Amino acid sequence: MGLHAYLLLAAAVFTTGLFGVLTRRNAVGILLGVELMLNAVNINFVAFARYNAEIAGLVFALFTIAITVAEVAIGLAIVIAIFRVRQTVDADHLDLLKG
Amino acid sequence: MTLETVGFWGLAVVLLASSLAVVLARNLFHSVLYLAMALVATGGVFLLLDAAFLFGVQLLLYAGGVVTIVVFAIMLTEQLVGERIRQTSRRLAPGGVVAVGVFVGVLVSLGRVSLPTARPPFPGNQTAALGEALVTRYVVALELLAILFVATLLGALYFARPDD
Amino acid sequence: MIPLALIVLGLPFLAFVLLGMAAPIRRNGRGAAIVSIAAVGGSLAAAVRLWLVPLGATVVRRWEWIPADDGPLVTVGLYVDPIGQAMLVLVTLVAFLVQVYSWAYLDGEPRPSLGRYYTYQSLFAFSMLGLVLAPNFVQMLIFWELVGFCSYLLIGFWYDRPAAARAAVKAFWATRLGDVGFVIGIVLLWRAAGTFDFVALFDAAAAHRLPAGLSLTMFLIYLGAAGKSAQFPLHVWLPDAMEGPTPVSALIHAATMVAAGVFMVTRAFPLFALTPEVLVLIAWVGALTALVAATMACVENDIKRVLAYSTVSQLGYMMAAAGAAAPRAAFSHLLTHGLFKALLFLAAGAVIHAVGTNDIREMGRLFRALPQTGAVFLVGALALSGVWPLSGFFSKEAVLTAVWDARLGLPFAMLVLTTFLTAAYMFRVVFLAFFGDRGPGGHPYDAPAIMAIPLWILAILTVALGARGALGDDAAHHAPSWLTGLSLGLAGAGIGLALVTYQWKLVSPAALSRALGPFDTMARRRYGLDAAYEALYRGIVLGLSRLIGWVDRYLVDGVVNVLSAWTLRAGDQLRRIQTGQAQDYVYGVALGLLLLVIASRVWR
Repeated sequence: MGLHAYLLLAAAVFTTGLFGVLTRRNAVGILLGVELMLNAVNINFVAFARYNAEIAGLVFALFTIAITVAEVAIGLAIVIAIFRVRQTVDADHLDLLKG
Repeated sequence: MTLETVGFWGLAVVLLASSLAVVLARNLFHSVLYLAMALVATGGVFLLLDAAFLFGVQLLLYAGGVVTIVVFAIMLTEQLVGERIRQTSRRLAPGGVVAVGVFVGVLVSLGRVSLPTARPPFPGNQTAALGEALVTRYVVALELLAILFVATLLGALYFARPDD
Repeated sequence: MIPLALIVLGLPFLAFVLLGMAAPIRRNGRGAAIVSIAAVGGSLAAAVRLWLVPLGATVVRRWEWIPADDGPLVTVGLYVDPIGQAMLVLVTLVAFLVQVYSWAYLDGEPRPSLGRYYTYQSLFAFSMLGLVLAPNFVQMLIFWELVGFCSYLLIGFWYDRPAAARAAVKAFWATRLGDVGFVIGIVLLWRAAGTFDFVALFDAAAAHRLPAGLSLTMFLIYLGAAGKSAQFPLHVWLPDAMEGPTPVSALIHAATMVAAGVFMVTRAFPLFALTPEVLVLIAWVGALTALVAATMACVENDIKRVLAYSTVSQLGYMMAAAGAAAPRAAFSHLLTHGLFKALLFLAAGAVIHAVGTNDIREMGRLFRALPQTGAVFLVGALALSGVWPLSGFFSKEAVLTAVWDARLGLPFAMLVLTTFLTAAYMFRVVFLAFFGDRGPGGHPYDAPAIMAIPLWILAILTVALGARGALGDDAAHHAPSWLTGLSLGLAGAGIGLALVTYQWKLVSPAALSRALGPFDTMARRRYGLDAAYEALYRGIVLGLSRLIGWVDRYLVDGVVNVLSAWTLRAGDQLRRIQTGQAQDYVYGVALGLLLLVIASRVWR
């Protein structure tokens, strides 16, 4: 198929995930968008690994998956903690950083 | 029409459709399910790219673990019986513009670069090669990853504390 | 020569520094007095020693101060020439006598105050001596201003008196007005001649190497002397300066500081000689000053103010002589006047100290109670009126001769009339205060020894200088005989008028003032000068300052305020970017990424 096809596919998924991060109001929804972005990145890595005959790409993808899992765990834990305190997970209401 | 081409196009359609569904669905629960579908499709893409091991890892960790966690989180943060959170955001238009813009940018960049179209040979026993690379060349990263997991575990423990 | 000059200058400076820095000595008033008197006494000794050395040419010693590319721009140093020698003796002598006199005159003063007084006295002595010894205009200007500052300090010595404070400020700004011209003149002179140094300037003047058209420059320089030497119309500060202690009036406003203007004109005469039109102006203004001040002295009742107006009048004489191209005559009158005016002031101080009032209408018959004071006052009055054979006669005659020889008709007439008036007002004071039939209340006592001795010394010097003149010492003594007769006659007529009016009471003073109607009114109103200055001040200075204040508040501050207001507003607006919602920040990142991608595309 050619490398560019896979890269384009990954870019499309990445863009979709970015759109989701930017527009979702539910905090969990935002995290889902982040998941998509990371996923797309993984596709990129594996594609490059295959087409350049480099094992490093696969190693990187593996690491990414592992780290993503950790990040999701903690991220959702934080969301739950926020929910306990503020009774909401609406991202528009979480503006403590407001300056 | 090789098998690979067909497979690619099929998986591509599924992946893209489910991704869009993830970000556009009104019901968050549906989003999660669509995400699961997207993750599985990604796994399929890995398979197409001869990364069998990663396919397995993807299904196990991502499609299995992550989705489960997210489902738990949704259940804990939403009153299932009751109103659902509106998902319309005020950044739809600009967000869309930016996202499309990024995509177009990547598209254009890709257009100018010549990329290999044929697949070079790859180590046969990929898993063994992967494992070997992990403990020889990338052992430091591996150890760091372990430390990261310890930190994550501690963080999760902290959050899971009962309130006293 | 130079080491002696250095001692003359250095001793008062050391006294000032010691008194200024060592507060315990200063606060012990008597101790400060001893330090100051010792220093100026040492200066006097050195000055006399210096004067006894016959001087061929000028001796100069310079130290570089402000360097420049070819030769130093400004030097400091010591410049000794014959008039400088004489001036040094005059200044140190009068300063010494005044400081000794003050010991007794200010005996009622609290000790720290007394210490402050002597500190100022030392500073003044140093400043005046530095002015005399200055080798260039810049050093002279510096000491000129320093002398003015000391005058301010000493006039306003009793600073809790509002009148004294006002008088000090008035003295300062009136002389400042002249000094503006002085500074501009010095700079213009430098532009024309390329140097500030006297020796260089006089050499260039003699060799006709100076450019033409120096009239404006020399006029501006003269303005400084006009302010300092109280020429009309800048004389208004001198009568008010009598708010200071009497010894101060004797020292500063009779003998030394006010003489600085005349001294400067005399010293820089080679330059003034190049601009005869300025000299004529100086002579006219001098003569006018003499006459106007004499008329104002006739209607004054405060004894010190009479003497102040008299000083202004005599300064007019000196300037007239300088303007008549006779700097020697001017300087000789400066010397004699310095001595007998200081004498008169100190004697008046003894009277005030004894009687407790300045008003001559409250005095009378004091000759009986204060015989010493009366005697020396009489000597001074006679010298001032120009009676032979006292010193004043000879110097005044020299002035009149010079003005006559310069063919300055109206100035001569004015000076002649002034001679008459001088005798008249001076003896008015003598008769009213020392003779007459009513005495003041209380028990006036004569001056204590410490005050009397300086009086006697000055009186003796006045007589001695006169004797020297009488014995035909002065080579330039060739006054036309009719002039001698005229001046003596006028002096006699003035004394006679005073006698007739105030002693024998044949003519009533009220009738006299009615007869002289308009002149009397103008003199009493001080010729409206103070009102004129006030109006000018309110109009110009205040108006200008209001305008500038407006500009400062609304334009200058306005710009700054506008900038700061805009900054604040911009900050308020920009702060809205910080919504606190993490999604917006991610949006920012994505937007930035997009822009970077576009930029990298465009920037091929």
